[in-house]
Amino acid sequence: MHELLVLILALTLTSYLCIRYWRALLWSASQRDLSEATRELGSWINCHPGGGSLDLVCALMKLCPSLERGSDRKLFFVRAYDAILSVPYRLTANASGEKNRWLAAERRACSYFAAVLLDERIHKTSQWYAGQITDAAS
Amino acid sequence: MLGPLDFLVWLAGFLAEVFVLAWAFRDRSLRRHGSLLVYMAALALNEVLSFAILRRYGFTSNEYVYYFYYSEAFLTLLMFIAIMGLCSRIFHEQQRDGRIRALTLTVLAVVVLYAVAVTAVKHQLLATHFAGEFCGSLYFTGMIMTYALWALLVSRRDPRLRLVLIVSAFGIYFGGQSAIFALRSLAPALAVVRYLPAIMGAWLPISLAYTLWKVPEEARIPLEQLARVG
Repeated sequence: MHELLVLILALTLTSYLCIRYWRALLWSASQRDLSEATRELGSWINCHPGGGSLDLVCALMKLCPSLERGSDRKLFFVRAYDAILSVPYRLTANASGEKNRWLAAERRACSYFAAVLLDERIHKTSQWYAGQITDAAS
Repeated sequence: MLGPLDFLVWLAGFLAEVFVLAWAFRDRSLRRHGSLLVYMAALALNEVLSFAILRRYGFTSNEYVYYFYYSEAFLTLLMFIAIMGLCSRIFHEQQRDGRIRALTLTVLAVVVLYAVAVTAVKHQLLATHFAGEFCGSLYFTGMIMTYALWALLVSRRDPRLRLVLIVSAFGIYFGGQSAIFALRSLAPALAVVRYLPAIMGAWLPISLAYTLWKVPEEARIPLEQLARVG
């Protein structure tokens, strides 16, 4: 009985802190400033009312060549989190309450996180491309 | 017998511990994260020593079993001191760290007495059983203390992101270890019980390495927004 109580309490507190940890990570990643290349996309995400913008950012990421092996893995958890959020978001789509606004803000943070990854990818690709041109010239 | 997964997790944890120490040295934040770094150094040293003992005497030897239990108890104690160091750091800003020291000693005394009592009641007066009970009790107390620390951060609206991540990482670790201890008593044959401690052991140094590497000291987060569930 004592062990069962400890297990329930430990699982509850650990799950609570896991959610907080994940949200803090997501929040910190989504606070980075975007470069000129993706700034417009960032402002579009901020103005976009609710979900759906992550799909567009992911589609843009597919267009940009990836030089890092397994860089899509970073996006996996964010996409999964966004997919989980999209269910209650769709269910409460007609309600304009506090909960719905919170879900929309959370989904925007997911899209912004993807935009930061896209920004990094563009930066790395252009650096690599500039290096190739310099090598070819010399 | 240890498998490739155990070695992989062990290696990831060990590299993360070395990274945390090297980063703190480079960042000149040795004094700021004092108790945390002492714990990380002890953890890294323990990885090397336990590997050496494992190689020399084997997984099922008495030498390894005794070393495992005593080092585990000592490391848990150091970790508890590290979390109290974090508490002290927060309270120091409020000039209340004297109370934290008194609280640490009281909690430790209670945990030792509790572990002695449980070991005596179970008529298992072996030192390894005492070490096991001591660890389990410290993990549980650590979990409660970390959660209290988290509540304190939220109530004070402390926006330091590094501190938030470090406290959450400790909370997840203590909570996970408490759950594993309870699960071990409830269902010792469960296969997941065998792998979880190693994964949880690697979690703390890896998350600390990530926090020090990726999160700048000056990063701030609005905690009231983070604490809101919906």
